[in-house]
Amino acid sequence: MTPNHHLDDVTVLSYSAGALPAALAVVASAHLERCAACRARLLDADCIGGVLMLQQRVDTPAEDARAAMLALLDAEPAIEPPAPPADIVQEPDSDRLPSSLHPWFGHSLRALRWRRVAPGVQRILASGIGGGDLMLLRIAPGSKLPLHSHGGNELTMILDGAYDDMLGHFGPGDVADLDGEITHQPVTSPGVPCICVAATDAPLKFSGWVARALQPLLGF
Amino acid sequence: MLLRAGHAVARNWSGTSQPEAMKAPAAASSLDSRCAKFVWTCSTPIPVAMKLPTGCIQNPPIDVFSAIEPVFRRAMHAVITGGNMRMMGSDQAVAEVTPFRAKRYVSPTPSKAAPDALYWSVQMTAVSLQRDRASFMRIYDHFSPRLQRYLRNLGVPESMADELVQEALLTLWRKASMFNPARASLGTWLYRVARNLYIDHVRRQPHWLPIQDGLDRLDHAESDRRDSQPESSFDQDLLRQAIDGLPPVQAKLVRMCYLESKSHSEISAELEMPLGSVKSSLRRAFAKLQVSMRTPR
Ligand SMILES: [Zn+2]
Repeated sequence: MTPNHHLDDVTVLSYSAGALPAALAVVASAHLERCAACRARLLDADCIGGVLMLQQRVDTPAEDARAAMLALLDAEPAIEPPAPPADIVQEPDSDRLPSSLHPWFGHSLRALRWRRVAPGVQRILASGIGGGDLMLLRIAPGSKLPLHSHGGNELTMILDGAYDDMLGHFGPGDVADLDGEITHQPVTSPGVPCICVAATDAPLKFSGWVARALQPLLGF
Repeated sequence: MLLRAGHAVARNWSGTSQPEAMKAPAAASSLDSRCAKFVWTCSTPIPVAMKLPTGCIQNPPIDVFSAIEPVFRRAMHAVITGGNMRMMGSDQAVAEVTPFRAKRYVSPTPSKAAPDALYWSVQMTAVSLQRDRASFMRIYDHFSPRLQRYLRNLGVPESMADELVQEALLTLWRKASMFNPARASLGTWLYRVARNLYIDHVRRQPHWLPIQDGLDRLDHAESDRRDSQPESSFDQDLLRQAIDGLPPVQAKLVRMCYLESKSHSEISAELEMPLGSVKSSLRRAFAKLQVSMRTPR
């Protein structure tokens, strides 16, 4: 299952630079785990970082720093090379959440404990991420949601179910990493609820269809 | 399977000074892919003892390295040039193969030509297979001041930067066998290591390191599976030139992003530039730099 909607180039760049706010990085990591195409672009971005790092003018290391390094090698246990990485079997387990979500939401989609925040909308808020907001949302099937984005940074990845909007069909693994100005109206697919993980870089900048869905509760 | 490929290649290359393969591009490219496989085998310490040509196993480690080194160099050449047999030309490729102890690669004093990806791959192989401290210190001497500068630019206090540099180099020592030169250059690899340590220690995103390990393993499995030429083998010089050739605004944004690790919103606020413009400029810069990485040599 290859995603059709990917991270924006600039999100990849920012991720590589270690500059993506924490909540957005969690969602980006979740997509990267499922998307070889974005991992390849990340490698490109890392190459840029590597060249920039090496371009800096520097002096040669001091003798005492070299000696300290060698002393650290002495303290290392004798050859104990890491086991060759096991071939990762990507069993299609629709219940398993992406790894980057585990610390915040656990491993299992089915085990999630939802809280209703509005008619047809349930939510789980990650606490303590300290770099934006991170939440899971569960939207009833066949819901029509108003979308209006205000230019903040917002990243959403579909975990289960799907929705459609003018940009196409968003299914599991797809990310919506949109520029602020687009207005559209996602409609969740019939059948199963649409479950997604959404992140913003700062609570007050929260915008878009997620915010509108939550409007009745949060009152903004 | 791997043993057979490596063995055959080793014999080819020890047996002839002007190998047949150099004369016929078609044959060469199939040889390249076998070499690439061989290198990959060699860079993984545990199975290597089983997969080296049988004659090598009884010899001391240094001889194992001598035995594979010409093959390795040849293979690395193919891997790094993306199998295009960079025709600067077959003569040079051969010249790089035969002299194992060519001055350029063992001289303790830096030569005029900057060390290239091939040079660092050879050092890494020595670290990985022989736990060679001299090779390790060559890597240390070149990279540690750059890692240090990178971290200091990010605002990391000096003593912590020193610690993280040591940590990065220890990671290299421990995980040398994970380094895959077909996937990324040593500079890129160390950049990742330093960036990850920065995010873990300084930005305090507690789950970042295991997540990155997971992504690394996915890449590892992928590049093992794929028989095609690695996507990341490209001319670092072209990327360097492309970075130097960026228009001033794009260059400024790219540097703020990487060397100051500023988010798009922070850049937008600092430069009083609309967020959309920051993003579109960075998008254009990235596209240009990617083109330079895809340019055949
Ligand atoms: Zn993707």
